[in-house]
Amino acid sequence: MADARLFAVRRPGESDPRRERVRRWLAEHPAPTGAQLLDAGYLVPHWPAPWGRAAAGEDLQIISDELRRASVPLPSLPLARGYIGPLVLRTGTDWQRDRYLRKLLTGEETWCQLFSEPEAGSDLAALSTRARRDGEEYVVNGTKIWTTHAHLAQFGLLLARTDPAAAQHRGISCFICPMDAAGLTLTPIYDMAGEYKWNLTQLDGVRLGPGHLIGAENEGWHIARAVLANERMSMSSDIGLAWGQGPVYLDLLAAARQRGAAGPLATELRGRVARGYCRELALHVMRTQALGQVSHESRGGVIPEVRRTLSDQHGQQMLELWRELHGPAGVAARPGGGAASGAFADYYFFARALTIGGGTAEIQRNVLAERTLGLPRG
Amino acid sequence: MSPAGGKGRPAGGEAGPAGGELGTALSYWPSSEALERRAALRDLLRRRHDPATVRPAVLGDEPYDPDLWRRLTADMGVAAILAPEALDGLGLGYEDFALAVGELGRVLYTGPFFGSAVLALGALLPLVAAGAAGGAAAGGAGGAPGSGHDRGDFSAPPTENSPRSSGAAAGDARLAGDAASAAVDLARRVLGGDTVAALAFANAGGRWAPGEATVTARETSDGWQLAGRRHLVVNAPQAEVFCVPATIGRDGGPGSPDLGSGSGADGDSGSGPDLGLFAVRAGDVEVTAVDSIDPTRSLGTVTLDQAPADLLARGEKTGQAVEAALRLGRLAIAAEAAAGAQEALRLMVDYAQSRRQFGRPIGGFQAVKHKCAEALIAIEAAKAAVSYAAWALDDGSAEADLAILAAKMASTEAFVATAADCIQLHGTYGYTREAASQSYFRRARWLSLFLGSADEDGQRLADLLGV
Repeated sequence: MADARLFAVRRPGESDPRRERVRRWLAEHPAPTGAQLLDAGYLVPHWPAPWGRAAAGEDLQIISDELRRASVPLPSLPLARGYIGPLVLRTGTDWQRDRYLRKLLTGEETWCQLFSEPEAGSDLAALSTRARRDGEEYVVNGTKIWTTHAHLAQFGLLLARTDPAAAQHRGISCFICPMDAAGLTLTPIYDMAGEYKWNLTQLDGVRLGPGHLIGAENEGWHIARAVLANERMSMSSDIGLAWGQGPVYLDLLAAARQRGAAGPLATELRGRVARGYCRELALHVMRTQALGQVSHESRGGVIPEVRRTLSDQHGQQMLELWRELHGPAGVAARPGGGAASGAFADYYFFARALTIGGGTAEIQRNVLAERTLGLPRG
Repeated sequence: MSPAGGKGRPAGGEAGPAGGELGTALSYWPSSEALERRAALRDLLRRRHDPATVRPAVLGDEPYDPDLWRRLTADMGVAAILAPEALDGLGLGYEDFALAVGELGRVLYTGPFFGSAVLALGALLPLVAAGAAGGAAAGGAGGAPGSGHDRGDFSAPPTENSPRSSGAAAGDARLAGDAASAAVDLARRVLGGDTVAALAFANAGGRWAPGEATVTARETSDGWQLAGRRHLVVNAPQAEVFCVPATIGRDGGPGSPDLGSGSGADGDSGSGPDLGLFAVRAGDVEVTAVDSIDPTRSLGTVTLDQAPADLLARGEKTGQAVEAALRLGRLAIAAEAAAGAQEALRLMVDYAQSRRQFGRPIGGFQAVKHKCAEALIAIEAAKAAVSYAAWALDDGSAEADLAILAAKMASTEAFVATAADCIQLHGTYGYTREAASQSYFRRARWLSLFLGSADEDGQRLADLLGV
């Protein structure tokens, strides 16, 4: 059957009148900017006004379908839409919402996440970056690592210890840290594929005002947990095989057919293509069921760590399968031809990061076992 | 189109969205009515069917509780979900069907649901739908047709309620009318729980092979007679009626009984064999029970030696009926397996929380946690695939066959792995006769093989994907 008809059950029909309104707007705005999309309520349609239109269910499905079909390049801002945005929306003050949300959503200002430290990765609550009260202000000292695109960001969401005497999880606060603050220095770290992706971020006497605190003092751990859960949802909310980006399952299907046309495909490889369809189908259902969630709290039946783990396994398996389909020719960095093949090649090594970033696969399993299944900690 | 399509969504309840932000009118959740029906069924089964008592060791001579089966069919309508209302069915869709099958699977229901209400009725329903269109189901015209038939009396001649062609009407038309009428009568009794039926479709290898004349039929002056043997017939020991597809001998002459060899596709490969679907009374066949790896899903070999039979369908409708039954069987297997896996996970987690070693619950060890988390992930994926397959069938989507295979693969693999881990985590207890975990493992393995293994499904799925 035609690929366009896969994963299409119960999508609102092509002639659904609700599509017309979106199509008309897109016809009037063939290359919308982030600001135009935001003002029309199409950038975060599931958010409340004035950012979104509180859209839900099929309305949301229709907006997402139509934007994708019109190839509207939505600003690639998973932090904004997926986890930092919802945090500011939910936890920020009115002043913080007014100051940060619009520019965060349109991409005018970009953000990074100052969470991990050299000695606090999976065990994030062991972080030792210190924020000391000095009158109205906080003075921050410490070292953060794996700060993705800190060199491109204007702000960072920072976790720091405000009460060293309190139990590990209770003495942490969450701040908005301007990345041009005095005392903040970056050292580049390159990823496996050669990209300047991360930074070692040193904070040496960085001064933050009270308006930079988000949420209450010493309540940062709850915020961090919510952000991480949102991140896990966000990472699996789009159809790209690499945290929503990159090639999609239908590209893999096309690659398998192309390879099959050149000679019979091993039974084992065909079985893996079929298992990929099973995973894609399950993820499609979970994505659709979670449509319209502003944050993980309203997930309704879809468990963020389940979807995220499934999605990461799937991405990794499909990216590896793509390379193995080429047999001996797979030793070339960019085997085969065509745009889809290029996308696979671009993301191939990134597959390794899928089960590490945003909490390792092992930590996800602990979270599932402890929080969802109720097994004891430790 | 979807019979459930217009119902109030989204649902509340455990599977529904918890917050207000989710989907007004998003059809990716079960309707609240469907969830209510499921809750009622769950409640009845919780009170009446403890999965801890279905261990082979405690299964007595009575393989299931007939009173519970009556409650399930007569009161809850578990066998009537997909049947049209004109036939006293509930006229609901596959989503409801999958939810109900899941409840039965969760408690390892031991009664004849799978053999009778899924496979046998799954073959009858397409005939009934066709019959209704053609007027034969107008058995319904005369008030409660079939109600005058005694249990098992499907072969009674059509009553005065049944439409009979008069005078010049062609014999063929009358034959078709009689067959459809017989199918309607039988379907009505099966879906009401009055008759336990079984579909005897498999050759010795466990497969439906329409080209093999495993059973042959011939028409005599006394009516149809069947000869041959069918294997791995589910619920055969309990069945009162067998639905048997058979190869009809040329020119109505004697077919060649093919007892057991299973070899012979007949010579003409040009057009397919002339097939018919027949109903045979249990008293007219020889049933040999076959040990099943899951004793709660009984099996038997059915041997027919010139057994008198009633024609239910003839020609291409026969193959279509059997295919429809197998397709429904695959969906049922998927739904049962996903729910069974969920229950096996629950057993596993309960034990990991209560069993203490090295001074703490074993569930605190990461090796144990990760097994449980892996199972949860696989089960959630399986449940999602089952829902999608049911929706695809409800909506008449061309993707239904792919989705059913995907759901069956995902669910049976999740169930086998979870049930195996459930035994593993219970240590030696898990390997005892008394452990409930073994019942889940037996059911899991049974489901994973009947109607084809996951690897076979995967190859078929790859075909459908054009790979």
